[in-house]
Amino acid sequence: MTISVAIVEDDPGFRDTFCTVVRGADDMCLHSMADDLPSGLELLNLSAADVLLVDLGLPSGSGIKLIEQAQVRWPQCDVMVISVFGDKRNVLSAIRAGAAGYLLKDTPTDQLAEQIRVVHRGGSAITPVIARQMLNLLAKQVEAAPSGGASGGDKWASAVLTRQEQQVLVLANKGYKYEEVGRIMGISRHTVMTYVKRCYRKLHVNSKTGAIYEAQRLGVVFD
Amino acid sequence: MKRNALAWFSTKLLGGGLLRVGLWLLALPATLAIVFMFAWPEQPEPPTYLRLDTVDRWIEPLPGDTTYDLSGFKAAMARSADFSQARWVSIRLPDFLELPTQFSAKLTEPMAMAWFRFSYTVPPDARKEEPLALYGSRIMGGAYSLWVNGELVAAKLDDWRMQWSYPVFLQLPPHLIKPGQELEVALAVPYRLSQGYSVGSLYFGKAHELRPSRDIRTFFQRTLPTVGMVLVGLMGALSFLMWLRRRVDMEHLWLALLSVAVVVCNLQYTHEFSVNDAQSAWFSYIVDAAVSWLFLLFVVFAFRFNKQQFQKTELLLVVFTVTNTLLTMPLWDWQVNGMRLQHYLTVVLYLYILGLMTWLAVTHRRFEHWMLCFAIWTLFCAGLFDITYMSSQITPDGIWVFPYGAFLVFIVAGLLLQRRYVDALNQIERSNIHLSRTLKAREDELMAKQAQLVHAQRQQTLLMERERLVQDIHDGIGSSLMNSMVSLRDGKLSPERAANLLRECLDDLKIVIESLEPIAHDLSSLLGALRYRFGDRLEAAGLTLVWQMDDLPPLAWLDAPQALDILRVVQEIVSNTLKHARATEVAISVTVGAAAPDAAPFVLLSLKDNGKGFDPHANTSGRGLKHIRARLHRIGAALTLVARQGQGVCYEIRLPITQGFEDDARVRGNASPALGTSSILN
Repeated sequence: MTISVAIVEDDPGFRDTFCTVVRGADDMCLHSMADDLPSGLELLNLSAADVLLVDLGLPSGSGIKLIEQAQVRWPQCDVMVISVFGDKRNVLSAIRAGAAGYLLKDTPTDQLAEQIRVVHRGGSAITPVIARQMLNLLAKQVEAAPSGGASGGDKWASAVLTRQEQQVLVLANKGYKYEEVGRIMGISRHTVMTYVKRCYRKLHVNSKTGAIYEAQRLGVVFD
Repeated sequence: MKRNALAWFSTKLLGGGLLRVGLWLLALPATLAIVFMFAWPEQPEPPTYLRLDTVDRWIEPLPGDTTYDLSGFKAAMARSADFSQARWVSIRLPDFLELPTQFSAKLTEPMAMAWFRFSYTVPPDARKEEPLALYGSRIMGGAYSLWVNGELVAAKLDDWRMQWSYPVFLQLPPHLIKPGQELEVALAVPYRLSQGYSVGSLYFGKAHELRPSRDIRTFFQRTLPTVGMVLVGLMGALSFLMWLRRRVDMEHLWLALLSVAVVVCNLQYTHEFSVNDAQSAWFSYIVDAAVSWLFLLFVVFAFRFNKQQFQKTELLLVVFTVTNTLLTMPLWDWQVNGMRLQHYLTVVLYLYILGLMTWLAVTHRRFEHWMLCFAIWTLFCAGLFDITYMSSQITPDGIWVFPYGAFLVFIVAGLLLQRRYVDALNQIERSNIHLSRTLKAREDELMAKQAQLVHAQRQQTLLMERERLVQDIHDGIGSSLMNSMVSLRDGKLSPERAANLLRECLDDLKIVIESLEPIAHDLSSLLGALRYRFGDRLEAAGLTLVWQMDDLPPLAWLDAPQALDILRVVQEIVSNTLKHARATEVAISVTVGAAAPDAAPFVLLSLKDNGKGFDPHANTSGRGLKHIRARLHRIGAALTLVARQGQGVCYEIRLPITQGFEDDARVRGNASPALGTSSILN
């Protein structure tokens, strides 16, 4: 089955590269393209794509808005943000907005397709720094959890990391790759990626409750 | 006009003058009440007592054996009134003989009795409950007795030597009050011929009408001086106690001594020593001497208070006073004669002193000088008046003013001292305020300087960091780009080579950015991120990476500059391995170790390849080890290089955990950098 991929990117060079990659891959097809935020939002009127790539630094606005909209309009779509340096601030906000992964612009073209496939399969890329930030975020959120509020109780509970997820983040933070993490923990690479994706989800879920956003906004999280 | 008055009144009231106005309003009736009480007796009807302007006088000589002592006076008083030989002369009261300049102390002296006779008709409305009395301002010269119709009615022997400050008040017994009866009243005053007598105005009438006059006179002549004397004595005692605590302020001592002099001077108004001849003589002597001492002390006080240096005058005055005191002691016979002479001499000297003080006041024009001048003039005049008063040169109907002069002197001295205190206190207050202001200003200055310093330090730190960053970028990326540009321009750069160069620049940039990421002293994050970025590159170059990262404690010294150094070191080492080692595997491990069980732990970062190695004794300058060592030295780390030909290279970097290690490393860092299997410290 082919993976339909949409891209919202203002840099024509990368758009070309991307198109080349997609055309070159058997299992992928190009869904749609946009070069700016408004036209990107219009894309959402079409039928959903499988994977959406969004550049955060769009001329007329941040791609975060697009990501948030995509969560609403295309719930089944996996969103990846395109970043130059993978700087954690933007990536983290993208994850909070609901992105499932990110892509570095200077990724070698042969890896580009694979990464798209990975995210479609349910895995997520993670950098050590982001892993550490997620650990901090979710740990602080556990401390700040209200003691047994009725409405937010379940959501808080689900936001807590399981021991496995925590260990995955810790090892990722130390620079181990997924295979190594799997080897150390005795699980498959795929399981590791699933754990990471779950962490992302928890971050996204918590961001919806607004608590972590507040903590982050106040600068509590970023050391 | 009306508005002005109103405005004035309102400002007085509203401007805090309410109290003042109230006080004034109270003071007026209070004053009136006091005056009323004293000067105005209660009776609404006019007084009915007689003022005896004209009386008959007869001087009766006493027999020659009457001695001038208590028994003699008693005998004189016991003689009955025999007016058969009397030769009455009509005289006006007050009647007084001036006291001679010399009078002797001989016991047997011709004496006489002065009789003063007048008639009084008892008014028809007189009652036995309202006794009659004779009131007089004073009778100087000793004792006196009252005879009515030839009968001795009253006698007074207190202070028979020199009675001078009690008013005369002799009450008639009630049985003599027969309305309509004519009374023949005679007052007898014994005296020494050489001494004379002094009788003031006499009044005869109802006792209760005359009593207020007596009371007023008693008050001003005896009560007030006594009270004043006691108060001055107390204040003097206080002043003395104050001097004891602060010996350097001599003015307190002078004031205390002054108070003693005032008290002694005034003793004559409250005490008498008529009984014993010697006692009486000594008492008078002491009191008289006290007057000159009072003067001396006040002058000394005045000079010292104003810090005037008139040592000669002071000396003169001291000599005079001492001489005076010695000469007038009742040991010599002629001291009594010299009493008035003494007083006149005193006057001359004192006039000189007074002139001096007035001159001082005029030239200095300061409040203290004027006050002292005023006080001493008052004292002098009071003394002068009292001398004439005492020597019966003037009517005896006044009161003694010297005590008041003495009080004034003391009060002035006390007030001046008090002024000085208040000024000192104000000065202290002012200087306290000034000090606290100055202190506050200094504090603010200090804090501002502190803030400046902190700011400057921060700027300095930022500057240094910036410089290092710039230096790093310049050396790394800058030079790469420059070279590529040159090569490209000269056509010596292939696209592939260009792509590689650009990739290297990008890597450098990423490393710098990575180093700036706040990592909260976490080395594992730092190195993990590094691996993440470049791990794939290594794999692509055919180098298998074996990665091991243990749990690390936070490293206190690990900030952005240090992070950059570590990243560069690892980058350099890895790039060396890529270029020279021809290895297939690189093992990078980060563990925590300790040299000995009780030694400080450290973090061991080791990079080991399985390449061909190199000869440690060969020239290794091409490998950039100098840079590596420099960077490691900067962060306080130590590099151990283990290299053997054909067995790969192992870089062992020991990183400190706490700051202390860094200082030790810097201290130790002068060992020779020889390569080889031995441990090498930077």
